[in-house]
Amino acid sequence: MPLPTHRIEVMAMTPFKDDLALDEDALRTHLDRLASAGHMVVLTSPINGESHQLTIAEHRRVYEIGVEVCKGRVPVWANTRDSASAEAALAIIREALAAGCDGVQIYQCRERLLLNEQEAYWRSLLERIPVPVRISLNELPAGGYVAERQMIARLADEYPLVVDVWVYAGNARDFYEWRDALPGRVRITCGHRDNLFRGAHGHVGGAINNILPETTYGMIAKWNAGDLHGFALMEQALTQWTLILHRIGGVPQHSARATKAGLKMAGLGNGVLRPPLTLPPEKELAELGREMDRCGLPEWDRLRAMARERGMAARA
Amino acid sequence: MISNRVRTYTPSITPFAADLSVDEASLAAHVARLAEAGTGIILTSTLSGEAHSLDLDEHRRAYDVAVRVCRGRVPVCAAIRESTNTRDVQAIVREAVGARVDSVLLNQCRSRADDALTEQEQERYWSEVLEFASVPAFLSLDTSASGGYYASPQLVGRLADRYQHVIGVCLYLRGGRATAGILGWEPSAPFRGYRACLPERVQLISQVEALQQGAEAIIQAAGNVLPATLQALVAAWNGGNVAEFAEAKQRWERWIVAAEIRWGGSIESARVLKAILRERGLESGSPRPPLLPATMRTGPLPLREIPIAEWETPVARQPN
Repeated sequence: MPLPTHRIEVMAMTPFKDDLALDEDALRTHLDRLASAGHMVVLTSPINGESHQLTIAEHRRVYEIGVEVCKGRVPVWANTRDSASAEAALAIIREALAAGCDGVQIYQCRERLLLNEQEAYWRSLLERIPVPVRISLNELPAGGYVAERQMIARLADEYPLVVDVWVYAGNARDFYEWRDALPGRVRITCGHRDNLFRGAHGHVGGAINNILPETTYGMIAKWNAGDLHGFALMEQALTQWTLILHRIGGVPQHSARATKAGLKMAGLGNGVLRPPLTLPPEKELAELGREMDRCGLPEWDRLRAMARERGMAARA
Repeated sequence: MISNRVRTYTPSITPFAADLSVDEASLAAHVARLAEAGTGIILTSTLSGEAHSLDLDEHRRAYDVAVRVCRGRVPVCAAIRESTNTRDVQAIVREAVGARVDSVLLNQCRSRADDALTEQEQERYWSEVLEFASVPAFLSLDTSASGGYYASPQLVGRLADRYQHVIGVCLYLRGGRATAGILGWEPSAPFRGYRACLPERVQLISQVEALQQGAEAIIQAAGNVLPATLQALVAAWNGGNVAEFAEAKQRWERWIVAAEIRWGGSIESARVLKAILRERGLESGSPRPPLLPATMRTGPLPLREIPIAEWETPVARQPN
C-alpha cells in the first residue's frame, strides 16, 4: 500500500487568565503560532483543551476564535468532548457548526452501551453532522471499551462524511485489522508513531506539538520527504525531551498539565489550569526546564533564550 | 544515534528426525539456507531452538554442524539457555567454545517472578559466567527467560565496562504496555536507558520496532522461514528511504500476523515455525514433547494476507 503524505495536528490547549476566565487574546496568539507552523488545529480536546472545564458558551468562543485565526490557513476542527448521550454531544457540535469549524471529532458514548445502543448513538450523531467527521475510538474517555470494527466499518461505509478514524492500535495486528476493515478512503489517525510505517495517515500530538510546533512539523516533513534516518533522529531527540516532560505528571499527549507547564517554561503562557488540575511547584519546574535545556532542541533553546531575555525564565 | 549498517540474526530451529533425534543433515541444510540469505545464526535458543529439550551432546553437535557449514560466511552464535545456576551455563558454554562458535548469547539467571534476584546477586551470577566464557558474548535481557525481570541498565553497563568481551546486549521488549510497566511508559525509554549506560563498542540488539531508536542489529525468529525477506527489510532500513522501508515492514508484519493467527501461536515457537516450514516443503520434523505440531486453522483471516511466494524469492533476493 503506498504511504500517504502525513499531516501533523495538534490538540490545542485552552489558555485561561489568572482569574480563570478564558483568555481570548492568548488563545489567538497561541493558535496563530500553531497555524504558522503548519499544524491542523483541533480545539476543545477533553484533555489538552480542558473541555470538561468549559461551558457551552466558552466552547463557542473558542471555536469562533479558532476559525477567525486559522480558517483558510490550516484545517480547524472541533473536538467535542466525550458525553453520556448523543444530545449532550450535539449541544457542543451545534456550536462548532455555527462557528464554521471545518470538521468535528466525536467520541464513543461514555456510558457502556449494548451494541445496538452504540449503533443508535452513532447514527443519531452522524445523521445530524453536515461536515467531515473523525470517529475517535480512544478507550480512555469511553471508560475502557473500543467499538467493534464491523460496526464502525459499516457506519463509515454508510456515511461518506466519516473521513477519519482514530485508533490507538498498539500492535501490528490491531492496526492492520482496522486498516483492512475500514473503507480505503477513510484515514486512520493514531497516537502510536510506529503506525506511520503501517499506513496511518497522521499523528495527533498534545503537549509536544503545543510547545514545539516547528520541531514536530519538521519531523513529519522529514517523513514526507522520504528521509527515514532524518525522521528517526528527530524522533529520538524529541523523545529524549518528552521523557523529561512526562515527569510533570501524566503522559504529555494526555495532559494539559504538561502542556501548560512546558509553555510556561518556554515563556509562552501563565500556566493557569482550571481546577482540579494544578501545576507542580516552581522549583520542580525549574529543575525539569534545566534538564530539557540539555536536550539540544533548537526550537526549545530559542524559546528559552527569548524567555530569559524577557525575564520570564527566572520564574519557570 | 541511527545505524545504517544494521545486520540480522535468526534464532535457528533444531530439526528432529522421525525418532526425535537431532537431524544433522536437515540442520546443515537449514543453516546453509540462512547463511545464503546473509542472516547471522543463533543456535540452541530457548524458544525456536528448543534448547531445554537438548542434552549436552546434542548442543555440541548442533554447534559443530553450524560451524562447519557457516563459519566465515555469517556469524555463528550459541545461545546458552537460561538456568538457575552457573554450573549448567558453564557446561554448555564449554561445548560452544569447543566447537569454535563466534560468540555466545548469555541469558539472565532465571528466578521466580515473586522472588527476583537482587542486583548484587545478579552481578555475581553474571561475573561468574563472564569470567568463564572467554569468547565474545552477548547479554540477553528477556523477561520470558528471566522469569519477569530485567537487569538494570546500570548493572549491564558495569558488566560491559568490566568484561571487554561483552560485544552486545539483546533487549527483548515484550508485551507492549506490560513491558512499559517495568521499564517506563515511553516505548523507547528502556532502549535509550540501556544505550546511555553502554560503551560504544557494545551493540544494542532488539526487534524491528527498535530500529528507529538506534538498534544496530535485529533478531527475528521469522527469519527461519523468510530469511531473504528479513534481509530485504533491513536493507530497506539501511537504504534510508521511508516508503521502501514502510513497504517492507508492512509486508513483513502482515505475514507474521497472518501466520500467527493461522497457526495459533507465536512465530517464535518451534511448533509454529516447524509447521510453516513443513507447509513450504522444508521438512524439519516435529517439535519434541511436550510441544505438539501446530495445526493450521482454516477460515478467513481478519486481515489481508499476502502470499509469501509473491516476494520471498523475486523481491527479497535483490542485492543489498
